[in-house]
Amino acid sequence: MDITWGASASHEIAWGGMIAVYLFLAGIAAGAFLTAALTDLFGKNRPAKLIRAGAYIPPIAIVVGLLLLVFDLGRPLSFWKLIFNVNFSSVMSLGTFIISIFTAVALVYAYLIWAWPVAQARGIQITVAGVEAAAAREVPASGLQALRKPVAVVGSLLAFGTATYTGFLLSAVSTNTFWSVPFLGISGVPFLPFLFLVSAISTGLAATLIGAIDCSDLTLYKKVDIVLLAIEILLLIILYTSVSSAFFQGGLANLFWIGVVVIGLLLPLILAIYGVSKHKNLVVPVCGMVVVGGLALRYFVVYAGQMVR
Amino acid sequence: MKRRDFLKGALYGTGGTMIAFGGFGTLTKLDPKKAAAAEQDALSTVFSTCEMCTSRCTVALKVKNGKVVKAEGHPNDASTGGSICARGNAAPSLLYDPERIKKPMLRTGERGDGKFKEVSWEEAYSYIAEKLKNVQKQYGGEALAVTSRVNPNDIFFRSIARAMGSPNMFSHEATCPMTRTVALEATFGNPYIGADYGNAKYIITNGRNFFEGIHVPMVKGVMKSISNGGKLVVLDPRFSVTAAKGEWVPIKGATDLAFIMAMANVMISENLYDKEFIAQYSVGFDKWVEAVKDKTPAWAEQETGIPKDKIVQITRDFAKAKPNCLLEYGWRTPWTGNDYQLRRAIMIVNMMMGNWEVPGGYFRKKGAALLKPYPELQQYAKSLGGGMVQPAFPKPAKGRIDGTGIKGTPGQVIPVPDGAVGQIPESILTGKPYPIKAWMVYRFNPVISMPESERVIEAIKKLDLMVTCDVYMTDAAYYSDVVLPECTYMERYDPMIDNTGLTPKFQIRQPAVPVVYPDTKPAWQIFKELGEKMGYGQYFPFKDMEEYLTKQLAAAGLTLAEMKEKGFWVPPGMKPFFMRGKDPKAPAPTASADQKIQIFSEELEEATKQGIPEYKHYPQPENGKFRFIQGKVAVHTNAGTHNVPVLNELMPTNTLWINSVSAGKLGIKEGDSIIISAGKYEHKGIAKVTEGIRPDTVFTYHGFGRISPKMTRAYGKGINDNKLIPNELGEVGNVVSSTTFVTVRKA
Amino acid sequence: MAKHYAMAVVVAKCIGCQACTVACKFQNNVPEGQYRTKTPVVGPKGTFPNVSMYFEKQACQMCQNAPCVEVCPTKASHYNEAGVVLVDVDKCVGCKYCLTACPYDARFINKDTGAADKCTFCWEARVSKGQVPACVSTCVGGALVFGDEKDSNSEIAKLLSKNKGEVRKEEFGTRPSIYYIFEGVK
Ligand SMILES: Nc1nc2c(c(=O)[nH]1)N[C@H]1C(S)=C(S)[C@@H](COP(=O)(O)OP(=O)(O)OC[C@H]3O[C@@H](n4cnc5c(=O)[nH]c(N)nc54)[C@H](O)[C@@H]3O)O[C@H]1N2
Ligand SMILES: Nc1nc2c(c(=O)[nH]1)N[C@H]1C(S)=C(S)[C@@H](COP(=O)(O)OP(=O)(O)OC[C@H]3O[C@@H](n4cnc5c(=O)[nH]c(N)nc54)[C@H](O)[C@@H]3O)O[C@H]1N2
Ligand code: SF4
Ligand code: SF4
Ligand code: SF4
Ligand code: SF4
Ligand code: SF4
Ligand SMILES: [Mo]
Repeated sequence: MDITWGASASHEIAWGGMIAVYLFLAGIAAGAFLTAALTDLFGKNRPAKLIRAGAYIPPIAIVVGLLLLVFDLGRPLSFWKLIFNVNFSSVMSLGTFIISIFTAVALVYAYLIWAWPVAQARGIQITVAGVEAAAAREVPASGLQALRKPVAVVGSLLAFGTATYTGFLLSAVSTNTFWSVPFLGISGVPFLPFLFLVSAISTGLAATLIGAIDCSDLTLYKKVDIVLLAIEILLLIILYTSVSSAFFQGGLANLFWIGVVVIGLLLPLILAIYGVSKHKNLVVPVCGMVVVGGLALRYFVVYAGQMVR
Repeated sequence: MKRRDFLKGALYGTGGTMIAFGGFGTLTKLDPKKAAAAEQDALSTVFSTCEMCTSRCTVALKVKNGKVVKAEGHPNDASTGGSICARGNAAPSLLYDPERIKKPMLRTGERGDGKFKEVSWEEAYSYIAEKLKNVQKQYGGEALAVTSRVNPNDIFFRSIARAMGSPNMFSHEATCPMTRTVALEATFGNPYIGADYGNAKYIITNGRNFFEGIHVPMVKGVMKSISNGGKLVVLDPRFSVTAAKGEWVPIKGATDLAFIMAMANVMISENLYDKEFIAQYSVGFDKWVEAVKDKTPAWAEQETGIPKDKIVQITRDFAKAKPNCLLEYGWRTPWTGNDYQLRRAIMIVNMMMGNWEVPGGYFRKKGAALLKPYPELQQYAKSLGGGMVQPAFPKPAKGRIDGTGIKGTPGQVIPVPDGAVGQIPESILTGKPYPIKAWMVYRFNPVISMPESERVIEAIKKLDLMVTCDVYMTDAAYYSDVVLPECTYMERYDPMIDNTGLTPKFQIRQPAVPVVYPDTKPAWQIFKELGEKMGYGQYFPFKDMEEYLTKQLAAAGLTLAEMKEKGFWVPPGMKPFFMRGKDPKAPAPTASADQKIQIFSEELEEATKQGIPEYKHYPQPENGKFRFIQGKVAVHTNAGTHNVPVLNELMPTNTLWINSVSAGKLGIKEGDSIIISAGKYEHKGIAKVTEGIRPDTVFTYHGFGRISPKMTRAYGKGINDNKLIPNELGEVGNVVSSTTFVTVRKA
Repeated sequence: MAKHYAMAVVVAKCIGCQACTVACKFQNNVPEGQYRTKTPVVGPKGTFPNVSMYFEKQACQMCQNAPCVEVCPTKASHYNEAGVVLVDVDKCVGCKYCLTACPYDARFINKDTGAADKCTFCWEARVSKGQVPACVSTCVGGALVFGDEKDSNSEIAKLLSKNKGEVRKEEFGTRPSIYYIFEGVK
């Protein structure tokens, strides 16, 4: 209730749910890409299904995310101006390029992965040795497939850039004490890029695992997931101790404690530790919760930074 | 300084009012085609007079492509410094409001069910004329009452009543400063008295809320005074913006006269007043000495709740600043039934300070007539003339319903042009002294502005004819038979506006754009045409307002073209003039050169048997009850602007202020829904719990809680104070606004 | 020497009348429900009868080290030749990054244009043509003083040399050009 008259002072929330989802999707895209590409590059017995899941998720996620971003613009039809007007001091301006190139690379990579079995099939027809070689990744693939590895390398770098960018985007707002909180108090080292990177890999991996549900041996991935969850918990403890407790109060408290901590971290962690040794069919619930938790985390960070100023 | 010169050059340099003010980027950036188009976009300026409230500040209306896009203060008007308030700035929002009335409307359903049809002006006039003629035949011409907020078109509006033989012409003043007018007339023989706030060193105000009841030149003056280190003491039961800028003294409501009398008591006992001045200029001081003899600070403490030491200290400091000190005489004044005596006492104490006709004091407004005795000044100005000469009107067969003008009764001192407007619903409902059967209101909203809204509505429902002329379908219009849409002040000429202060000052009102809604008309034209329809054409002997203005101006040696170009006129080179400015012994006339300041007023003695102010104790709220008071808010005018889009956006509703301790006892929290009860009437509202009000008082901003659904933005929002206040006539016909008690409970 | 336009708000003289709010709306075509400037009340503080309150005119603080300019991806937000922070509507995509960066809640997305909007010091229509901003020109309390801070003869420079001008949220290092003079405020 306004006590006298006039327009009352207001704190508008500039970035809402669309941006939170966008940051989340960009993270998933990056995480899934890293999962697929690193497997592709270093995996011994590459579970093709997992690579495929990890390669298909990024373009879909990032394109949906970018569409949300564009819709959220005050002037959606002018989005292209982001590309033609560059401001080197603006994280968003730089991020635009990272994300745009990442999107393109992710599309190419997805295409290559899609085309891979076709190439392999063609290979069978040519020589038996060729097929074996392709499967064992000993013989360089021919034609376009020759690009797959380099694309995976470049894409991984861009994925890494995208994941951390989502953190830098917020942490660069130096007037926002929450978003720009430094890592362990070290000035100049922002905290959010670490958090968002870990969360991106964790959610991307989780999403990929859901896509690769019927693969046989995913133990390694599940172990990685456990490690990532543990790191994230550690990071949130650091965050909690670095900023004012005001950010964890009111409506945001539920989002944080239930959404991020319980659903996103503790439950999956417990279930994952339990499930690694026993149950295979815990993948969907565990990974599902990780993904939901990742979304909750973006919502929380985006809103907390703007609600309390 | 530079800015002023720049503007002067820009505005006057080309010798016309249509001056280009580009509202676009630098020309170098534009291609020639765009530049040509931009040329047409250029702003022109039309100087005029604001009517968002009746302070009537000078304005510069900015017109672009035939639309008023902005209102600004007149850059050359020293009294406003080029400022206008939020309401003045909101001008285009009123002008283009689609909720204005656009055509004459005739009621088709029952009164109050809101059914109207649009009719032509011809039909509207015929309908009114026929009804009025019937009323005249059946009951006599005096059965018509007309009421308007004081304004330059009154002469035309009232001509209808005069021609019909009705004496019952009223202004809104009984709801506003009429008690002050009565006091000034009784004391000085004339009411045209102003105060030089800017040069005052100490200002005390009993409820005059300078910074919310805005009059731009007064705000400038008071602000100048306090910026220069002047002291401001604000006696008000609630913490107003004005109180925030000075020392707040939370006086008990309806007890101000006790404080003033105690001041006089201290001044006399401590010899703090200007004896020479009193001796030279006044009569009857001895009776005043007698009257305040026992009005000690200790006594006043009991009445007002202000500690006696505080009263003494304020009085001493105030007297130290004499004669550059002002005890403010008020604007909206009717706190109590005998408020005129409060205003009298205030002016008497002022005169004890000798603050008459000196800088930082009170002065007579310096119309041309007052300059005549001064050879070095008389050349500066001549008075405006009349715009027409009217033949004699028939003499009314009966006296007025409110007794105005009857010697030996309070009616003797009720100002004739104003009357006691509160008497109208009483006469309609009781038939005493005789019934009113037709009521025409113009630029006045009795349903919201007069006490006891429901009684006013009940009265309207009994009439044979109710006519409202307004710019909105107001609450009064909603219950009318005929609604006449005036165009706004931005679309019309009005007769000259005389805003004389320390120098003469004439202002023009002229159209900035043609009428936005083609079926709206200026008031002068509406009443002229209605008059002609009724066969009273002889009382409107002029063709149009240009002709009328030309005549008015000719008498003052001015031309319409010149006024249109400049917007306002003050005698070039004339400095503010105080009659005692140079010589404290100089004669300073009141009504006439030899008349003395009436500390004892023979006239009041005759009319009310109170030639000297007498204290009257009004009850204080019993436990559990609150005194209910009201006030103005900076972003709205009275009952006038609550539906103007931009202003409605800034403040769509009001609240009931209640002290936090009192609220706590009632279990009321900030923002709670509450019910305010005045016994007979109840009103819903929202509570504002605050430290800024006396625990025995509740307050609300006036003008909300609107009844007409046709003002969709304001309709039903907030508290209509006048629903709760009884229609009580004060001793000199004023309404009474601060003596109502209410209870408050959670809804 | 380059100019540096600045505004001083003499808080003691501000009566909260909102003339500035409304003048700004019409000067700059600010859409319904949106504001480039607001003057909310601060208080009342204290307990009856010792209470106080004042009004604080708020708008873009015209930071000389403006976070909004820094973060803007398209350079739509920029400093003009006189150090005034402006938004080039044409370049603005409406990403709202600047809204999140501004610590003074000075910006909003204009409903009509979709671009970021805020106080411009009335640059185009008034200041560049030698007039003071609309809010300053209409200020009823006389609380607003505008001018070139670097010109020692300007009213504002004189005012600031005599009175302490405080800036809002100094800790962010934004170096605002709006100074609040609290002298005489209870
Ligand atoms: N913004 C704005 N400006 C206006 C107007 C407007 O509506 N809005 N209206 C114009 C008009 S018509 C007028 S008359 C003037 C009015 O200007 P003011 O005379 O200043 O009128 P109010 O604001 O009604 O001031 C009434 C103050 O008196 C206090 N009060 C109530 N009862 C008592 C009492 O018994 N004793 C004392 N000491 N104080 C009391 C109220 O709390 C309130 O603060 O303003 C003019 N200017
Ligand atoms: N309880 C309580 N009652 C009060 C007050 C209070 O504080 N408390 N204040 C009192 C005071 S001080 C006053 S002065 C009165 C004011 O009472 P009113 O004179 O009734 O109020 P206003 O708002 O000034 O104007 C009345 C009407 O004029 C219309 N109007 C505006 N411009 C024009 C125009 O150009 N042409 C025409 N034809 N109409 C126009 C408006 O739409 C409005 O309906 O109210 C008094 N009533
Ligand atoms: S005080 Fe405001 S509304 Fe009244 S005439 Fe002056 S500018 Fe207009
Ligand atoms: S106040 Fe906000 S919008 Fe204005 S310059 Fe500073 S950061 Fe930018
Ligand atoms: S909203 Fe416009 S001005 Fe603000 S950062 Fe984005 S592009 Fe720049
Ligand atoms: S300087 Fe102009 S844009 Fe800024 S608040 Fe004042 S009027 Fe509005
Ligand atoms: S116009 Fe001036 S006095 Fe009125 S609210 Fe704005 S800054 Fe304050
Ligand atoms: Mo009034």
